[in-house]
Amino acid sequence: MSNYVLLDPAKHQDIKIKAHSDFAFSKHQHQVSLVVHEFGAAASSFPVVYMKEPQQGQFRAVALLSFIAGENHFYSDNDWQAVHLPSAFLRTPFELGPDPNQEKTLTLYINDQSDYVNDSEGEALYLDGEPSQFLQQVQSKMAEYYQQEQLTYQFTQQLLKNKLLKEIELLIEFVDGKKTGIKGIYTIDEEVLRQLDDATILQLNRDNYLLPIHAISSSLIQVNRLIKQHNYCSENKILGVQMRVISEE
Amino acid sequence: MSSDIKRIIVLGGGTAGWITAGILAKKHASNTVHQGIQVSLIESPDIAVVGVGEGTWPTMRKTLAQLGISETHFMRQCGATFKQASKFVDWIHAQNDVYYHPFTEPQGFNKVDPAPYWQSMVEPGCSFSEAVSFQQFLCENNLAPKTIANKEYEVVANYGYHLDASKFINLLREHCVSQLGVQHISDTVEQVIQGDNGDVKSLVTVSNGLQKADLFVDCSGMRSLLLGETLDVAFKPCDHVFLADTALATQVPYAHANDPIACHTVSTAQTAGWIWDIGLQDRRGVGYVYSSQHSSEDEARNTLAQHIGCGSLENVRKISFKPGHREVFWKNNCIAVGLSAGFLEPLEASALMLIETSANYLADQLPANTAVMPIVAKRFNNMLLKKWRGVIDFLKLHYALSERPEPFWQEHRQAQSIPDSLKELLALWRYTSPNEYDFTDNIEAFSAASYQYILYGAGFNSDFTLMKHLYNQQQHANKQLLMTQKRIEQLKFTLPKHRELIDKVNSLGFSTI
Repeated sequence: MSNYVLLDPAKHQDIKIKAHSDFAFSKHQHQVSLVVHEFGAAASSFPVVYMKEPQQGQFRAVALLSFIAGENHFYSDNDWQAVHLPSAFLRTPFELGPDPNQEKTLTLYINDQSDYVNDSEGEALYLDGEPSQFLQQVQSKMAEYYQQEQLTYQFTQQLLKNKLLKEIELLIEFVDGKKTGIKGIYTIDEEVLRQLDDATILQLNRDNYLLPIHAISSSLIQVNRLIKQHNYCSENKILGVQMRVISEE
Repeated sequence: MSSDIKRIIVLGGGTAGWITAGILAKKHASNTVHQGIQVSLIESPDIAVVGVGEGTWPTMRKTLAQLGISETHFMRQCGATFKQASKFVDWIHAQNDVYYHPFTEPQGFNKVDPAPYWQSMVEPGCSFSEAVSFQQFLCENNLAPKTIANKEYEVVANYGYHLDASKFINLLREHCVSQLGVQHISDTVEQVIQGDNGDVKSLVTVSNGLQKADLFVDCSGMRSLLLGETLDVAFKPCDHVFLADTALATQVPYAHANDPIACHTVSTAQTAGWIWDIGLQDRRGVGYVYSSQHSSEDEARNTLAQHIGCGSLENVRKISFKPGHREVFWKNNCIAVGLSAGFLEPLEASALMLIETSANYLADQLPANTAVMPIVAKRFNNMLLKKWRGVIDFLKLHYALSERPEPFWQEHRQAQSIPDSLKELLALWRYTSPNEYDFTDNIEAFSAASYQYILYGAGFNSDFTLMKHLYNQQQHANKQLLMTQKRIEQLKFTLPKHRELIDKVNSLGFSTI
């Protein structure tokens, strides 16, 4: 369950936050957002792709954790199974949200229904009415995360500006004969990347964008790992997945 | 002796003129390798533009995309909204009866015909369109046909647009001139010069002298300066089929800036005609199409004011028209597109569709020289006459099915006013549903699905019992109706409200990928 509320000293004076252990909260999450700084590491474990978030239609980088909505094949046997741990998971149960007292400012929110939130075990957020050292660490980590998100946004804008994203469809065939197609997945258009002029490539390199670009590209092979994970966890096994580029009409 | 087509002049700067010039230039203008065709548009600065049609068909998406106009830009510039259907109110008994003609065909229409089965599977009172298509639900709940996460021109539910005609002309002009290389000449034509064989050779303008071309497109409006006046092609009226001859058009602001925007055209039948109601971004366009034989202008104004819910009307434009079309649309080296070709009441927004069809045909089949032109002209005329026949039949069907008692409606149902082609179809449909064999031509204006929406929407009953052995697909049909319901359950959570999407188009825009 999630219910993010503004972190409020009056309301949250006595709560404590448990330490991260097995990331069981991600059990029903089939994707998780990534910041550009972790694309390389994430590519070691999952397909790193772009998808559009439905509310604003903005492109968002995510790691695919399953082909099936509501399932996470990297959480099994009560443990996290991948090499990389997405930074978003480490933020749990905190998030950034708009500050109601100050326009255009972000502040800390907490998911007060998270299993991490309780009043006996873990780190206190406040001591004698003052933010604890733990909370100060959370705040500084969230500030750092905010910077990373800004850079991820700028990176994404560069991809779009240079038309480096293309849409692909994953056509999945199950053992029982069922077929399903997943649309709305975007990856690097390698042909466009190859055709970029020297000046643009140089600039992308100076901005340190080439590594994450290649990470997205090479991570597509991780679709095969998703199939393996799926077949390990699920009854209805996947026979194969075909990737099809969605071309413009 | 034949001459090559090197220059085309489009006469008239309304919607028809700019769409045709744009489509021609897009396809035939010079590129870096080859010399192409020069497209020029001459429009008189003194002649006001009629700006027909604020409703489009789904075909407009392809037309705009083909011209290279971004959907976001188009919607922002033209105050445009999405149109998913036409809703007909009071057309049958004038007792709040309603039926829909949605742009999406019935679920599984290419697999199983719903007509013989649907009635046995729904609650009493459930209409045909409600049973076979999810789109009526979207319209009734003001839901948009897509989300902001969809690409430009991508659909979840099939749609066209409602648009501000004069803003649309501005957008087309700007795009045609700056992006497509159309030469724009703002000048008045004083004289048309013809050759011995009747071909139009050139136009004499006031300040730009003699303008010569190999092909002329007449978009001069109802006057039909080239095809009608110069080449003397007769006008074939169909005022025996359609009685309405006058329209009063006005604009109505929304009461509140956040009022819902209808995602369909509402057409409400009245004593002597019908009222259209179209929701744009910042206003509604409302108008009364009526027969001056059956209503005085004062009565018509009252009817319109009452419908809008205001005491008196300001800024009403009166348009008189004669329904009908030219006997041919292409004669010699001159093609009429738009009002110069003909006019019918805007009941199913066919005006812009006919413009798009004509312009595309012309661009795709453009004769290389004047020697082959008569062959192309003959084929063009055949095609377009069929289209007009189709539109006339389809519009008339709406009237033929009405049971309203007023003289206007009764006269509309008189046998001699119904074209033979429609009479034959109606005779067939007493025992079978509209199907692909009725509309074998792929250039047919309206599909079998559209005819079914009107026919069964209006309560027509085909008697399927005589051929009972044919109809053994009940289960299959059942499945389609269930799928429609499932689709509704899914879409009502994913699609935004129409106004919400319009706001997002304005603030964020659609992505191109």
